[in-house]
Amino acid sequence: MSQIDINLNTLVDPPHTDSISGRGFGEEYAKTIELLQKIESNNKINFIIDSQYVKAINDSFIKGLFSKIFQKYKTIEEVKKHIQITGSDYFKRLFEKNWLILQEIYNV
Amino acid sequence: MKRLSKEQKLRNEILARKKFRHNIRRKKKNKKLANLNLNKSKVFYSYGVENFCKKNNISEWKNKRQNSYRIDESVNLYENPEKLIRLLLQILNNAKLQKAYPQLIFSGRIKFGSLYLIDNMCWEIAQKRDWGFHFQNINNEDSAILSKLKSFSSSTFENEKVYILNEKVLINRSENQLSNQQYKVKSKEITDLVVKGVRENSDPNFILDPEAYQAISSTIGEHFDNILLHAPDSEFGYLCGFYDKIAKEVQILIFNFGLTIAESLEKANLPKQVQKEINAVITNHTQNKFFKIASKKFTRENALTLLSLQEGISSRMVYDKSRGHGITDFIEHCFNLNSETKIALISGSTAIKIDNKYKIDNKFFIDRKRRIISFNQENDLFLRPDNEYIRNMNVTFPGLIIETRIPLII
Repeated sequence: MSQIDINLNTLVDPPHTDSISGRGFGEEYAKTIELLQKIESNNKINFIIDSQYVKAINDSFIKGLFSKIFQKYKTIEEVKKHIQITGSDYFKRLFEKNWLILQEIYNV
Repeated sequence: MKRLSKEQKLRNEILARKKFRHNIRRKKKNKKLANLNLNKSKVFYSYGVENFCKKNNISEWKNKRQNSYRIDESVNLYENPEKLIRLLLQILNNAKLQKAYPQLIFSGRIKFGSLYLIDNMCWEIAQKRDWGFHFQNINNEDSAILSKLKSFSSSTFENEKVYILNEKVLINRSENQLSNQQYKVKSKEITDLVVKGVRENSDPNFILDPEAYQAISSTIGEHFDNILLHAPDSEFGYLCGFYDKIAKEVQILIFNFGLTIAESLEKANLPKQVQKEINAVITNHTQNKFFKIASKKFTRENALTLLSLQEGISSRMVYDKSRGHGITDFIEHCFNLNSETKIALISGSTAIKIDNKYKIDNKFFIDRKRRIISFNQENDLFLRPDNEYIRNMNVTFPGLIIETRIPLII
């Protein structure tokens, strides 16, 4: 399993923007970076978030980004085998909160 | 007691009928005259505002107090949105029919959201005709705000007490969702203003908490996302950020014209299970006589709007069942930041106010645990909500207004 770094800092445009948002944006970004395909190819994806540049990530963006992943892998436990967050504890908790919701939706 | 003869009774009856018919004819004539005057008017607003007028039969909104309007503290989106919308309609009617400038008589300090919407409608009118207001009893703070607030375009204003940032945001519907949205720039400007305000007034080393960034970003981002996804005809969204340096309170007001929340849900092709549960709630309300038509205190539209606030209930669910979490997430972030947050949501004839009395709670609904807010002690969507928190207005706003007031804990 090889690790691929995805830098979410590139989604903000300092000094003009410091937040990442949009459900559609999340879905589109997942397609652009071929997130599902990379996971299916047994890679570990490391999302890098630097709080100096990214101040907020909207929940809708996170759900859009991971919706297809949870449709396939169902549980946080399975998703965590392929996804890692390198960022502040706040962002780690935020991602986990949204993963919990996605797990509740798709793991039925 | 003198008894009336049959003849007298008959005469009285005929007179009463005549009077009744005369009143109806007079009312019809007045309405016809008002419509005729309106048709003669050369003032036509933009599509959204004209639709707002049409939905509320603008011809009936002539001010009985001639050419003056009163505004006081009670005219605000949180406590009394109906009063504010009525005032806006009267102003719009006046501008279509009257030549003279009206007078706005102030009493006390007016909430910012009210000033903003009045200003916005006045700029709308001013684009169509020569227009202005004579102000009476206006206090210095409100006067300063109104003189600087140019809500028809981008503007910022700052004095020793307030920061205001205002933007008419073009909704970017380009195929490329990765392209930037203007609201994200404004979201950053608002958080920057708050940080600057606190640093200048109290703590030079102040750093905004991640939850505060998240709450402000969520307030703006989730609503513009909703306009993008649920209001396909809306070209613009209006965004205003207001920071009260003295009270240390952030206010964010966003509005757009377009489908109401209830219309959006009714038009949607929902998954069968969800539609079945929504129908069950509506049937339950009907059977329990929650929709009392005479009092108009709670209607089907109010119930549908409330259902749309719940986690995972969205007109876009058919595409993906993880849709429909934006409003719940936004409410949660604001209350995580400060339990004294106050939110007013107005869509169609429904006005909802949210504070810390009724909280979001995880409950089983439809097929899974969801974050639910029902506005009753039991937090049960099948029970009637508190009519202080979900109110039916006798006016309608075709679109959505959301006002969020978050006091910062510094």
